[in-house]
Amino acid sequence: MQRIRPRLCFRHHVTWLALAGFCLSPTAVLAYGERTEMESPVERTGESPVRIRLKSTSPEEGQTIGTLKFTQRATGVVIEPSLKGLEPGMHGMHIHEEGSCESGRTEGGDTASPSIGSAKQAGEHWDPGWKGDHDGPWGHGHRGDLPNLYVNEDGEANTPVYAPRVSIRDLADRSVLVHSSRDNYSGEPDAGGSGSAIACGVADH
Amino acid sequence: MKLKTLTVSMSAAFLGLSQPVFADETLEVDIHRVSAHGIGDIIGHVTIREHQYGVLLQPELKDLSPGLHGFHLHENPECSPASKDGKRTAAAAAGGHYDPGDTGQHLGPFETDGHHGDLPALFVDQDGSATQPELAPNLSVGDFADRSLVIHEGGDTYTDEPPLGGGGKRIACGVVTID
Repeated sequence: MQRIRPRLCFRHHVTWLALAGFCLSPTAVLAYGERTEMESPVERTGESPVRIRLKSTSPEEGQTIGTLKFTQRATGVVIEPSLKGLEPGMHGMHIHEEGSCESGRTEGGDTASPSIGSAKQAGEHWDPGWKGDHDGPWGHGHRGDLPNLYVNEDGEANTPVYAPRVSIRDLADRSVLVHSSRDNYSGEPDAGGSGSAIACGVADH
Repeated sequence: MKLKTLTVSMSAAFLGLSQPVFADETLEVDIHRVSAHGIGDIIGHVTIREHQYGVLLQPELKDLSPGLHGFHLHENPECSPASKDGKRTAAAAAGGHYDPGDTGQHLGPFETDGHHGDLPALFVDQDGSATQPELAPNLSVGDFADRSLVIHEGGDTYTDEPPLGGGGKRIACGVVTID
């Protein structure tokens, strides 16, 4: 039998006296009773997963490197990567605001430089509240900031990550990009130092 | 602070909790190298903090081999070697992965019907340091009291294939103490 943890009662930033009052109220008992079924943020919901096929963004390659499978949980999503052909180490990963992986054109009419990542039409990190901060997957900034993706010595990524502030519905008409370097989950350097885009994908709808 | 503790205890008592809840607590756990011979030097620490979506773990460790390492909350507050299958084994006194539901299943940090002590694997950089924070959604800070954190030699498949994620030998360990 699983031990019961009343997250609802203890995780809210209200004053402690108000909290004590709430916890003793019939409402809390009801909420608490319901919570036992859904106590963990990663409880499965049974919704169909969303798969996003990623392609290398380098213009001469452009081939599929595998998929990311997003599974909806009580709060957030679990992302299971199945990718190959990447540099070993940690790679920043983000939901970008536009549902496009096209390289687009600069104002001068030239195609975007690969050094800044060629999925230029993907736009910025998804930031629905206009927070303007790059603050990592469990911070208070861009909601598109996902956990880093781990790539092993064989160039494969198969270790799942959990992104608590995203739902599978948020993926519609947006793109997911994998970057060249590790994201330090802060705005210093820019985008957590995650560097240029190396792979990009858009959900099939 | 006393008032807070009292309020928490009262609410906890009302809700029938058997364990204290450390809603605002931050714990810092020293991590030691371990072997079959005993407990060795400190290689850094892990800070454990309550978070809206679980528990946030911030490692500050060094002198580890690069790559992913299995990382789990173990059931006993011990890091000593002990006899296991007739062989003296590093940090065996830590016991098994924390499994309050007695599930007997190693399913990783993002499933609810396995060990709750299965943490996201620890990432070690090329320079041997581990600084990458991670979120453990199945746990509260209170779950860490009187247990131990163990780092394994190998990675973690988040399944029982191979058994217990395949992390193998225990290479580092820290006992969680509450002041």
